[in-house]
Amino acid sequence: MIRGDKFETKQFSTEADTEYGVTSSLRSGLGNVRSNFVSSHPLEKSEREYDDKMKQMNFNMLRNSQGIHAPLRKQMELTAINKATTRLPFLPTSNLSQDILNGNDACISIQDNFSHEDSEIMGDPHLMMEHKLGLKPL
Amino acid sequence: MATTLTCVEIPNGGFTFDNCTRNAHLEKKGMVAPKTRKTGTTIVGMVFEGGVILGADTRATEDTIVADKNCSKIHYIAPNIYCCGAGTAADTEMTTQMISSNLQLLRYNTGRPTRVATANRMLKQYLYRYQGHVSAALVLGGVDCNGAHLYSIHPHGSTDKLPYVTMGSGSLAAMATFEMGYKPNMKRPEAMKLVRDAVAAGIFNDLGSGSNVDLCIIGNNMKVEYLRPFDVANEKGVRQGNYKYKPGTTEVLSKVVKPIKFDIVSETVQEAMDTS
Repeated sequence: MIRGDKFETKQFSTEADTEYGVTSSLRSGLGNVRSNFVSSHPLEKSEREYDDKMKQMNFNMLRNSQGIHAPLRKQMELTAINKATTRLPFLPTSNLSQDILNGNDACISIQDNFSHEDSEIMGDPHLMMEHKLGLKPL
Repeated sequence: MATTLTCVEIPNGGFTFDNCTRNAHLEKKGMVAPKTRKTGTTIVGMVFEGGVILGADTRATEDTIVADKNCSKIHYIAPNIYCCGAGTAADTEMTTQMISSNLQLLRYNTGRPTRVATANRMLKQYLYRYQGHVSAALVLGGVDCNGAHLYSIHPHGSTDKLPYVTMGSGSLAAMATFEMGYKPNMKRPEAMKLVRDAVAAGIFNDLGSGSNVDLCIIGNNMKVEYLRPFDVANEKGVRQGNYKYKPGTTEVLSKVVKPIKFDIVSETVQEAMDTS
């Protein structure tokens, strides 16, 4: 039996859905407040943060072994690529340059086993652009 | 026509936990979750004078039913590395296939043959990431430039490097056999017999293991012999009688043949289906 108090709380982004800090029932539906803070599976939180944490760890190791310039250069390359080659969020991307910079071009992970590449679902363009630009509904 | 979702970011891929709250709710209402197919099993490995021998039984169970009487539990990882898997069958298959693909990519990248320690490290990091929820207990064995190596990998991500290991539900029976008979640097026929005896101990004394013994011998020259089955320990019985009646048992008294008259009303030619 899964009991909420056994698992760590989810940490959703601190920005609320709407301008005044309440959740928008038009977007996220009617739900209970508990599900925002209690995760349904112990791995949910760690999986969500996994990629970022691994990148942090790798950058720290680079900084310790080669000095501050190494992670700075890598970060600069990533930022440049993000500015130059990312498409709008709802368009399909292969993320090739980001994959190469992150070293994932020579790896097969669980994300390739269960991938959204060939899925026939797309996100709503308006919602995604609003999220990207930080515009919140009232 | 694509379906649109009201999400603000496309998720990355990998495992999703969307259904977990629903499943918990259903279980509270009394639903019983379906059982996974496990290879409750006996897998063993041993280092001998000429390399490494891996042995496994061939039964896959779904709770109390035998799902597969002759499944293959020794998986390919690299030309010089093989891995036996116990636990949830899907988990062991997918994990070993993923690591095998990764190692092939690494071989393309570096141009060097794979080391067993690399495979071990990849497997343990993957299993630790999932904190034991990926239920795969593995016996990894192979020969590389540094000699023959044997590792046992537990579902939570801990590994041991040992000269002889056993895993699975029949591991205690198999380990008892190993403890009695193991000597360092055994010769090949002796070693094959000991591994066969260890797996047979698991087959005959554990309900989760059964059928045949498979062996995989990886020699110091990196030559692999995959003997499947090495020993058919449990023969399926042969039926002793036949309940079918011989033709002519029933006497035919009389025979009447009536042709059925029919007229052709219409003829149509059906075009080939458009399956594009």
